[in-house]
Amino acid sequence: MFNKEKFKVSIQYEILLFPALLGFFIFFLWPAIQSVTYSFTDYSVYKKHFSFIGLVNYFDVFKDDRLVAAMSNTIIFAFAVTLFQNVLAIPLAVALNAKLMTKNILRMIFFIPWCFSSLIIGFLWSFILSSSDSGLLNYILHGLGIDFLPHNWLGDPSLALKSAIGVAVWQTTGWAMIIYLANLQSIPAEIYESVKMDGATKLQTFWYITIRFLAPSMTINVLLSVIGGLKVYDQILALTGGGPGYATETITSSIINYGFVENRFGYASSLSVMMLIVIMVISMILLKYLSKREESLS
Amino acid sequence: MKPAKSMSAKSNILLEILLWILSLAILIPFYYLIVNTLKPPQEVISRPMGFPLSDLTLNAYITAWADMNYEKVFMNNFLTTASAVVLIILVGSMAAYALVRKRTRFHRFVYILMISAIMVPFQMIIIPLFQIFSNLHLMNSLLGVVLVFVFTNIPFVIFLYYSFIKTIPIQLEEAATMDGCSVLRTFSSICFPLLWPVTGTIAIIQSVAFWNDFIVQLLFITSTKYFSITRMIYSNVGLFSTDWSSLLPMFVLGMLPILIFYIIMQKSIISGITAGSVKG
Repeated sequence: MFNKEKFKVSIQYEILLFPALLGFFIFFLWPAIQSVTYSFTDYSVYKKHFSFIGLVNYFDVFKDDRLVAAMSNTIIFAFAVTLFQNVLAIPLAVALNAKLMTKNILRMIFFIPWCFSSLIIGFLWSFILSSSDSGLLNYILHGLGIDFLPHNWLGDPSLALKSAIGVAVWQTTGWAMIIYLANLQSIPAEIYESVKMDGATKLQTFWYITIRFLAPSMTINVLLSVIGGLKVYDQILALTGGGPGYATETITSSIINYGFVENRFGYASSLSVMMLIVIMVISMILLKYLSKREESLS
Repeated sequence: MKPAKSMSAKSNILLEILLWILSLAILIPFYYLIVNTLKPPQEVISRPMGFPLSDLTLNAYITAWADMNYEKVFMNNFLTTASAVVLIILVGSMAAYALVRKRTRFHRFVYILMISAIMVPFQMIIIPLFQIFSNLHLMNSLLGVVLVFVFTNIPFVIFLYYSFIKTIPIQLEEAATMDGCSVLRTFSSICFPLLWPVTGTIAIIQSVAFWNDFIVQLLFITSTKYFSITRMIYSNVGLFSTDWSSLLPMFVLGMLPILIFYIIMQKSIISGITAGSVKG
């Protein structure tokens, strides 16, 4: 029996869902499926009638110096940024959770770099780190009389990636701090009082109580920072453009280079699929480890 | 108790001083940026940290404004960001509502598909998307940028709305249905207003993300007529490469809108990103 009333209600739900579903299909799902398909082909601007070549692209990735560099740089970048960002953000959040007169303005100062475009921040730092005489960092180091420190922050292959990591930590630490602050405010005050009665030192309280209770926000910060780091593009493009050589080449810049400059669509697609796999595997391992920490809390 | 109290007050003052010293790491780069936009070009090179007491000038900004075609790029940026935020809120909340209230196998499948898509990086779809854009004549159009913004970010938005709608008791809506309200009417006049906290969070997070976007602009916009602020700065850095004194004011102009947005919306931004990431 066809129920007209029921159909009328049901169709309204489909009308609500339809725009999202259509757009998602055209601009997300379909291209994602195509990308996976292309990754098994030799499709390029010269080979419009492509043929399937199996996993050849995936094996070639590991023979390509540029891509091996890109992958290791990206993974080092993601983990180093996450490590330093969190090591700095936790003490900063604890300090800014204290009763300070200027805590609101201090929080604002530490947080503000995150709001700006990472491209513009990258360009600004490319001037600050410049090896020319008006580069700010070298100017300050010179003024302080520590000239012997390395000078070519972005031009020296052994320093360029470290500089990029430093700039990313500078920009994103405030954001991690804000999330830790929200978590700190949710730790019950009674816990601090009771360990104080038991005679715990400040350091012990920090290590055994604060760090432990920050587990939920640590999960979020570590996960989002690692994923964000694996996707990095704008900031490094502005700082070094991937150079010198392949010293700061990243997965995204390689995808764009192979896909849009050399027009090797199949090859670039296989790289993008590998990026997805790397992100999925790393997030799952992290999530498993971090949620175990959270469970030990309760 | 008194001595202990004054000791902690003392240590708090020390902490405060320490934090202000640390904050110089943030403040000095911004000081350097701003101070060098206010003085004549030759001084930028000779005294990078000096404050231009005698010859303070805003000339650099007038030139930078013209070089960037600022009012044009600002409007492009503003229009794409505003329309994308409005659209993602409408389309996302509607879809999430349908997915919560209709629980057929199909709807559950769609929800799981969306959730899985949160993991997929934008980088993975850019090559086929480029071809789709060419076929649909969306290259070099603000509409194209809006559509990519909306539909590559919609899974996360649906996820946030979905979790929130699930907590709204259905009894509220049943009364309306009894009174003969249609589904669309129930959604728009009963459910949607209750979603305000999530809507606020999404509006804030997505506004900042869309405003600062660069990669979509780089790939799908090639005509200067449709450039956003970041895209214009990128191409100007190529043009003026070593002429710092003309680039630094462009950076300031590029940062200014988001700074103003931040100062006005400070509290909502902070609670927005906290709520958004704690749920996400």
